Amino acid sequence: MAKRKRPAKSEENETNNKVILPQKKHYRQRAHANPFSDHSLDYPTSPDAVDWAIHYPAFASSGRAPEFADVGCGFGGLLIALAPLYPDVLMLGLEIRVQVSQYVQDRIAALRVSSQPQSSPDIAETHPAPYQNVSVVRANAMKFLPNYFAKHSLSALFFLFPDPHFKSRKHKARIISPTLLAEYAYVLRPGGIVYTITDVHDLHLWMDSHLKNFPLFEPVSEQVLREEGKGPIIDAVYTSTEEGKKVERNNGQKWLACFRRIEP
Amino acid sequence: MPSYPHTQIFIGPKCTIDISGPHIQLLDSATGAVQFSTTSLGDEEKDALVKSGPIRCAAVDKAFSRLITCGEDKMLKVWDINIEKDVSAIKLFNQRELPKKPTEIAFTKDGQTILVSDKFGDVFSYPLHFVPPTAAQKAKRERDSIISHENPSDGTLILGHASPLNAFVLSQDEKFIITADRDEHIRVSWFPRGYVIEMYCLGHLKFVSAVHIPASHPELLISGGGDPVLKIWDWMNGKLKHEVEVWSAVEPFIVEYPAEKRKRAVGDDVDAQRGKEGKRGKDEKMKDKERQGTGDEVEPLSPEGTTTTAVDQKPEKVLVIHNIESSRQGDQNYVLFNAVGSTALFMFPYKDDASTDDINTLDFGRPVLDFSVLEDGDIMVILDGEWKAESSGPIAHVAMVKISSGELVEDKVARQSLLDALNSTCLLPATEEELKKLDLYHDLTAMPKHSSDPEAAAVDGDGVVPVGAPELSSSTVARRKAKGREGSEVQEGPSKKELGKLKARQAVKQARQQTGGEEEAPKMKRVKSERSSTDQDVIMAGGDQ
Repeated sequence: MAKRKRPAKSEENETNNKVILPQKKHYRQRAHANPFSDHSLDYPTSPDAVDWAIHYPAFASSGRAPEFADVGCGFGGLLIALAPLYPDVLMLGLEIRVQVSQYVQDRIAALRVSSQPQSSPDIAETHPAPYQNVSVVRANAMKFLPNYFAKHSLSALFFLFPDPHFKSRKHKARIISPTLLAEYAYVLRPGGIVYTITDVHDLHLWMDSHLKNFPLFEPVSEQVLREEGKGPIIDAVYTSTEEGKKVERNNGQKWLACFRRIEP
Repeated sequence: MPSYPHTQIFIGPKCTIDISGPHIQLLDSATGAVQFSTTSLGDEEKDALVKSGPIRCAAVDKAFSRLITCGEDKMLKVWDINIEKDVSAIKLFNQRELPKKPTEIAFTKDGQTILVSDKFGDVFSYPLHFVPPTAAQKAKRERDSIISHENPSDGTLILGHASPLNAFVLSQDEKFIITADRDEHIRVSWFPRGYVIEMYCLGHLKFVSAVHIPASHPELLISGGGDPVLKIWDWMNGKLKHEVEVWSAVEPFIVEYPAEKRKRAVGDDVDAQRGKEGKRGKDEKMKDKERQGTGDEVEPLSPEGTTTTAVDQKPEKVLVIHNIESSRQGDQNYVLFNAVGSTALFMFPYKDDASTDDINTLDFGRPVLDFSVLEDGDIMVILDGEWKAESSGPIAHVAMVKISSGELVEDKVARQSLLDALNSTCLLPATEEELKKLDLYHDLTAMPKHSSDPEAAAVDGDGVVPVGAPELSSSTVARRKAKGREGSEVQEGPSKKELGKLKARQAVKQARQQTGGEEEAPKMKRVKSERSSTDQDVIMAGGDQ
């Protein structure tokens, strides 16, 4: 693992949060995981078996399930950025690395607690408390996505700065492949959007061409999505994640590619 | 000299095809006379055949005009079956390389398309006629950096799972393909447009190794694998109709056990969990001593930890459903199945409230390797004829069974000549080594999942998902980490990292108590709610340190 110096503070680190928010340094882990091995994962047998009320207690009575899924959510930057923008949309991050998913879990728990006082009682009447709409699971999305999400239950799927698996021998472990796209199309409702972004040009070409060639997805431009009011999502996709910020610090380039789920 | 157990037998109206080891034989279905055998091929051809290894997968088209086989060499071979008066023969029609080892192969009804599922989890389709890709095409493929799947013979990728595929079946109208994998999934996809997933049938808790659609009920799917039940699904909408408990019926007949991964001493199970984590040797010995002292690390690190076996005990029996079929007798439908390494054939009448008590068994005293239901409803059973020589009676490799007043009974009259031939003249000699290579009960070892993710197993215990005793596992983690860095030196108590995490969690908990939201505190990650109660203790205990 590359050793990087990192500022200890993060943007939500307001005074009252200092103790509460987990620190990334306690959760560092090797950046790669083999998606094909039998990890000791704990996963639901089917979407019906998931009690989303445990993840989203404020929505317990709504009977709702997640609509946004961030596959390989890493340290959870996107979820945290989107949570206040779409307070009524449930979002789930999936992360295969134990420590990292644990970090996101602790981070969300801390944010829920520390953000509560900010919302005045009259707002709380109409809006759920902040960050009640985001959660995370440690999961291998390549194998178990359909265990979490029912057919056509999602409206957005995010693949932000995924592991590039540079060696061609390892390409089969990439998160975008023709066979996996079938599963993504299954969990996405027609009209739903797949967002991909990477700083690795080869990987961009890979994801872009596989999605373009897949009969159930059609490319949709950033401009069109912005016109549809998804600008805040696009902005978050570009800038909210740890990887996204790192690329910015290094003045690297980012390639965005988005696709709409269409009917067969 | 021992002989090969039959791998597969296809009984047709005129001819019967027998697969034994690497060889193929063609028999007259009426007389049992061997009309052709690949053992009589010229030396060169025969050597090539033997070199391909034992045939693992085979299928015959409806018309009995072509046979497909695949051995250990990933070469998919199509054979022409010629039945003529004097010169019946099986001739190699074409062969092509498969990208991965196949787990099942099948013809479509028209016999024009071959479907292959493989260990990587993909299903490819191939046309019957093979046009090898040109060198230019191959070169182009190699240069193409966007290729996600190896595809040496230019097959059509129908679909793929990220787990090994164990079985697949086409719906009766061939508009859907149902695939089953080692990670409990049953997927229903359109066929041939497999990129459209219609539904999943989810509910298995262990691998799925056999799926079947009864001819009489094309809307149903019967599935089995490592779970103690067979599940019956309405596959179009993924709904479980009911399940039949079979383990209690099968268990007494299981005589084969999974191979042990390696010899290990009693109580060494924790090390086994750690898999290939490197840093072995000295550390191991230290660890053993240490364990005798404290005894605490024997705490299972994962659910699997409790099932690992010690060396002087017999390994536990493992259920692997091998094949499921159905047979119709008058108005009644019967479901038949067998399990790897068990000596009986099992059957129950298909009805909505079928239960364990309805299971009828027929014991053969030696493991049933496979069975198939013939056109007339009779059942052909292939046995491990070489299994433990001490068993009494004439050695049987093949038996015929019929269903008579709701019971399985051996039928020694039907197809007697054929049966005699399959049990005598057709048997091909095999050396002990060749038999060992067949590894007939490999699935008992290979199908069940064993954690190969030691770190996660340990860390899981301490609370990504707050489960179980945290102080113990976190210290185990810390100790392991310490070992990684400083050799055998052992650091007691939680690491800095752990303390840092616990501190933050403790603060969250206090804040939660202050705001009074204690009782409905979010228990993320906990899917099973009963465990979430321990979460409280976890944080408390952690904070005390």
